[in-house]
Amino acid sequence: MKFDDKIPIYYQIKTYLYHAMLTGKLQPGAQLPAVRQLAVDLTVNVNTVQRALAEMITEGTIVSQRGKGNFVTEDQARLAQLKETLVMSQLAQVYRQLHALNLSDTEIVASLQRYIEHREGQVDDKSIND
Amino acid sequence: MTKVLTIKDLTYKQNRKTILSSVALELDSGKIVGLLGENGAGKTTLMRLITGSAKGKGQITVSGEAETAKRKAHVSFSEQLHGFSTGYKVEQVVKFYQTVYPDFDLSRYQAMAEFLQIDGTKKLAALSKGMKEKVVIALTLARQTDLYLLDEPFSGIDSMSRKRIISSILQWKPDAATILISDHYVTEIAPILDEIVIVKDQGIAVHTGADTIRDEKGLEIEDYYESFYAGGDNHDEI
Amino acid sequence: MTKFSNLFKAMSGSKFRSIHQLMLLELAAVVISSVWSLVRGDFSSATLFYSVMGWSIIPYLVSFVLLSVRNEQAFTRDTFRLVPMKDSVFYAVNLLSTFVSFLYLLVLQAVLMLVTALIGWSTLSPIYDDMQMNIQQFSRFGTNPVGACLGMLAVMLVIYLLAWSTVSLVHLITSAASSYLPRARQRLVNGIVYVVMILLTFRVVSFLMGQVAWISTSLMGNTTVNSWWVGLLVMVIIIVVETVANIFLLSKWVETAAN
Repeated sequence: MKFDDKIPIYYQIKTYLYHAMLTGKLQPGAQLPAVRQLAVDLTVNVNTVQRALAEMITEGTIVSQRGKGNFVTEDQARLAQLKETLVMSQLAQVYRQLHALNLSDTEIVASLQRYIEHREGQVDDKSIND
Repeated sequence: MTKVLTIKDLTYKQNRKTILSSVALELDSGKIVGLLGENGAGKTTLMRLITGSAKGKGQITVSGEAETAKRKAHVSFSEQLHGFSTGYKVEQVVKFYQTVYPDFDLSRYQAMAEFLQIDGTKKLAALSKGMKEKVVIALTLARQTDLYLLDEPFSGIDSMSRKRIISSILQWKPDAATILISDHYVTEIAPILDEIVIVKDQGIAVHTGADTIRDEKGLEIEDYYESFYAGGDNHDEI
Repeated sequence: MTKFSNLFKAMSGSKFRSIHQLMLLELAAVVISSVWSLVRGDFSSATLFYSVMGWSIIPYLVSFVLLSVRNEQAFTRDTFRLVPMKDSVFYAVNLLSTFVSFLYLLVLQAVLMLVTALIGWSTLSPIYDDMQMNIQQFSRFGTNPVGACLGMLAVMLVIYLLAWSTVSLVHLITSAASSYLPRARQRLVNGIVYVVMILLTFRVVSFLMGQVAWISTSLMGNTTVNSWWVGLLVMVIIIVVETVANIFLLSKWVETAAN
């Protein structure tokens, strides 16, 4: 895994695991690899993995079972909430950037709509041109 | 958290030239720490002072032991095997380590040797630079001790070997042990570091957490490190 | 901490290996020169013995130099100096393994001589009888030639120990000075130390040679039995003083070669 060295590694590990959980690579209730294994797989420090996992345990996205390891939570509401949080944070970024370009809220919604339609259209255009 | 290494007021001169001046440094156990600095800044010297190979003035304690002979039992240094004649085979060197170091764990060595694809029947003279470094790393980490000092383990080594070496460091580092890795090129090891120590101007210019730099400054470790050599920290605000 | 016996095993291993290589070289030389005399047609059963007698001087000299180099290298190599053990113990292990390796060479040489002497016994026995006669005629000490030989051996071994200690002293002084003085003055100091030590060693050696000559006459001549012990004692005292100085230098100033 490649890391952006500007962003704290523990944060990137969390993001990586969130993605695995939301895309179904890590199913609800699935066991996470052992800490050292994760560290080796991701080529990061064990302590950093531990920090990421500790934060995830606190926020309830993973559950630690003493002596057994860490598991993805089976709490569907919590997972839905996680997805919502991730989506919102992505949108927040886009919103902030568009807002910085002096777009009003209605303009932002409209441009997003336009983008989605246009994007589909573009794909079609390309396939026609090919 | 217990301190694995404590250095107080350490000064070292060579040929009447001061290399390190009143250095103080403390390392916690269980960390991977990057020792950064330009060539000739004194990274290797600092390591040699910790092992007792170089003689300076000041106090150095490893796992509570200040006396050189006892300190050596708690430190494993990536020594370049210059004491062996080049006709020696890797397995003979392993045998030497096994005889001489009571904390040498042969099964650990064998696991690492397999992972790093080390051929024990090869003579030292026949090893490529990358392969020799792999042997050195495997020997150094096969000792079960508190403090590991890896002196520039990646210089002049191809990226595949580098990745293997990094993986073996992560895999075989004892939980409670601390590894100090010196390097003048930090990018490749940045993700595995807990902390960094920068040696500059005869002393420790900074000692801080790696994620602290990313968290608080939003900087890459490499940029942060270079800012020390650019003559000031001017990356703070963009 | 590493046990004395373990480091001894590890360090003597490589030194023994050098001795084996030397012995192989000597055997090769013996075989070649014997084949040569076979070709020339003057081969006898005693040729091997004479050949061994002739060549054996070389392993003695070369082993001294080789073991000295090994002995000195160990002081400045991390491979050995990182081993957790007191400097005094390390010094003892190093010197002892060098010394034992040399003894090992002596034993191997003795065996080689014995074997070849037995092969050529038919030719050699009359000569041996002659020698016995001579010794008995000329020496009042002749009742105990074995004792005389052992005495000579002891003196020789002490001289070897003295030589190694002196070489170490020179090496460790220059090594300690090299990290202290500015580079420019370093050469000067090294030069002075070398010259002084060489002169000193010459003086000591010539003094000792005199002693040895005198010892051997007194051994053979059985004059004052106690006086040759005095010579030996003098050498032992010098060894002890040098050893103390060496260990002090080792623990206070001598650094290993950079990694």
